[in-house]
Amino acid sequence: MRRLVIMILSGALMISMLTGCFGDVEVNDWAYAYTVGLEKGVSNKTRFTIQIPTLKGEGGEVSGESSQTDKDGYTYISIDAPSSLSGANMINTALSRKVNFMHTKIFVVSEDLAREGIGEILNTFLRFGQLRMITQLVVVRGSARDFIRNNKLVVGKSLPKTEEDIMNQEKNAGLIDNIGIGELVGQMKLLTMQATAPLAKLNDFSNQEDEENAPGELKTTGNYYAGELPRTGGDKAEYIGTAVFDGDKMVGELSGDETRMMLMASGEFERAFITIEDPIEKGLPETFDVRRQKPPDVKISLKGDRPVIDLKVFLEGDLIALRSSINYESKELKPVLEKAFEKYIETELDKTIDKCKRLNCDVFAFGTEAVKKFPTIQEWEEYNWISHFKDAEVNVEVRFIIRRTGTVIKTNPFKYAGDGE
Amino acid sequence: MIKEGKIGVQEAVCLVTITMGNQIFFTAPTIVTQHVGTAGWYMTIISGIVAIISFTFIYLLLKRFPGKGIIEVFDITFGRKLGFVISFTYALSCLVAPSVLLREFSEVLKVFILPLTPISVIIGAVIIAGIVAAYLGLESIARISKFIAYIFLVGYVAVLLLARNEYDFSNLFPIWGYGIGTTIKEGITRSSVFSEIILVAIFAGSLQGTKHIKKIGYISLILSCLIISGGLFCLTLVFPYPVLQEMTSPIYTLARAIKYGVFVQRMDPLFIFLWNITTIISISVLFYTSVRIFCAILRLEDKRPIIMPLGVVVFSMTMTIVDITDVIEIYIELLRVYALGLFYAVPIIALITAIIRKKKGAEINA
Repeated sequence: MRRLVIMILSGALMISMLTGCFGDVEVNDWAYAYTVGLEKGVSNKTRFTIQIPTLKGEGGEVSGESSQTDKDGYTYISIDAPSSLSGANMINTALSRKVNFMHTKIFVVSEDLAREGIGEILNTFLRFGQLRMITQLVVVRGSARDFIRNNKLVVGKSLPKTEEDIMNQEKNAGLIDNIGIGELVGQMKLLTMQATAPLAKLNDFSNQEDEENAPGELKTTGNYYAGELPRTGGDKAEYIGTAVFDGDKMVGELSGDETRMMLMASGEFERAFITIEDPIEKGLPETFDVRRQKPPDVKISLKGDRPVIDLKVFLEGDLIALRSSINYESKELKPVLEKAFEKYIETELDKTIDKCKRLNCDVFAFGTEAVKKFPTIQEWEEYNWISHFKDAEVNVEVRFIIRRTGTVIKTNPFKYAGDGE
Repeated sequence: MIKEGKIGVQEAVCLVTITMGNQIFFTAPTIVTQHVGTAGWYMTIISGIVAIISFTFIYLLLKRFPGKGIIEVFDITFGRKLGFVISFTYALSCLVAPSVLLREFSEVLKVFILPLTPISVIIGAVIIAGIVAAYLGLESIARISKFIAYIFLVGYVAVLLLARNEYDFSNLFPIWGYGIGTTIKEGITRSSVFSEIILVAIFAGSLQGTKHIKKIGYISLILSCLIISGGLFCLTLVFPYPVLQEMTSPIYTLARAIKYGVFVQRMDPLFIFLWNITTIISISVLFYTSVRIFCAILRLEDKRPIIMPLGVVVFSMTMTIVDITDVIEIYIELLRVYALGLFYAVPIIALITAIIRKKKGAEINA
């Protein structure tokens, strides 16, 4: 009998404790902020913006009074607050659900705020615990609020999926450097490298008609900064290029092409379609599907007055678009194209490295090799690699192999009745 | 004296290894990195070697007194009065240790998972589990440990390996951390991280002979050393030392950082499961140890009358600790230094005393 009573009591105790957490907050008590934006405030210190799901069913089922953003199934709320997290509280004066950051996919910071320093702000969110370290940080040229307001669904119905997928385009195009907040804040505290974050801007779709772009001029894929792509249609939010940080302060920007070079030098480059000018028929674009062959080989010497860095980048690719009628598939001419590609990448790498030296920022993580030369942390910290990077002599060498030429193994010239002009 | 069933090598190894290895889930990796930087993983190996040497003395002491636990051995070697004082200090330590561990556990749990739950509820729930475990006895705790150990090992290794995308071997440099001298010094002082090996000596009477004690001690120490050192190695690969020095719960943060595409993310529940179960086992076994020692020194035949009062004492002590800063900077640091003397030095003194005073237990013939 006694045993039975104990069992019943234990069961009752377990049931009462297993019904849920003590906080008594259900999933439908939360408003999950998928996008969070921060910028300098006007009426108060910080302008804090969140994008949340309206949870009114599938897109388009909301009332006629709702804004365009509501029709996507998402809306935004922006408030000027003394600090970001107190802004979350202030939002609850007009929102019945408590703001939650556990599912935040993109954390948007305006460029002006980034230039003032964002370390403490990001630390606040990481300390708070709800935001995950893998939440992506994006620096926006212009207003973070306007960016979020225009952050709409073009394909699919899920905003978090769309945001995750757009950031994953790093693997496909290499035009941004996708980074989580945790890693970014960590990089801001390192002596081996300096931090970078993807750049974004709303494209007003006016660049396509810009007459400054001379007709026929060959401009490479990533020779643009965010918001400058000659594009119409699709989402206004455009992610291309990199914000460069010294400590927690943004000090410069890299274009899409420069971002690719940065990824190649740091070994993070995966794949991209890269277009170069034909080495023989000038002005014609030839496009390669380029992949990293193996991690770059970085050798650093600290013996002289200035560090000497020998960087070897190994790439391989397929020829996917040939505009000229030259038979580059042949054994004799293939090396001509390979050499031209190597030369192009070497030049671009040199330019990007020089730019970063001027910014006094080692975004290539050369310090991760330099640190191996120091036996103790004290010696490493005393040397302060990132302060020496600007003086470094960097020798770049690129190896590129065309592995395949697509579905064609020989290019015959087109035949014309006249001279073809 | 309480008579309990014997436990086998596997159960005992699992029990002791979980209790020692569980510390990797808390602030220990952060504190170690603050002291030795990138050298934490091999500092743990130095600590492990020191612990193995110290355990050798404990084993030699137990070998002189076959079939007896270290509490009885103290009585014989030091005499009833001094033996009582030392045993009482052991019992008290085994009450303080779970209190500090429980407070650390509750604080981290509150930061990451249950921010709205009152800390008294978290502490109370774990203490109820500890009290139930103490009623059920060593055999039950040991069997549960054996059952959990395999899940723990698989889950732990899975978390560490799933983070391999984040590994960066340059994080291991500068290889000597804050200097080899500092690493060795910290390795010796922090060897008390393995001080729970004393459980083998306390429960020696419940083990099957000195040969088993030797086996259990060495295997547990080597396994725990591999768990903690391996964990620190992987954490150092993922987080550069300036980042690792800041974290409240590095393994939890590591589990949250795992990401394989859109689907394999948010591996923290795996960590929470491992962490909760192993912590409750650790707290239960430490609590039960204090119950056993109190019973031994008070010559109680029945443990039941003191379980509930001691549970209340642990609850009160846990609630008395003010905040997480006190836990990390005062209590854990004190326990580290204190445990070194109490659990490593005292058995060595007891061994020397036993040799000098020619004290020896009766031979047990199987």
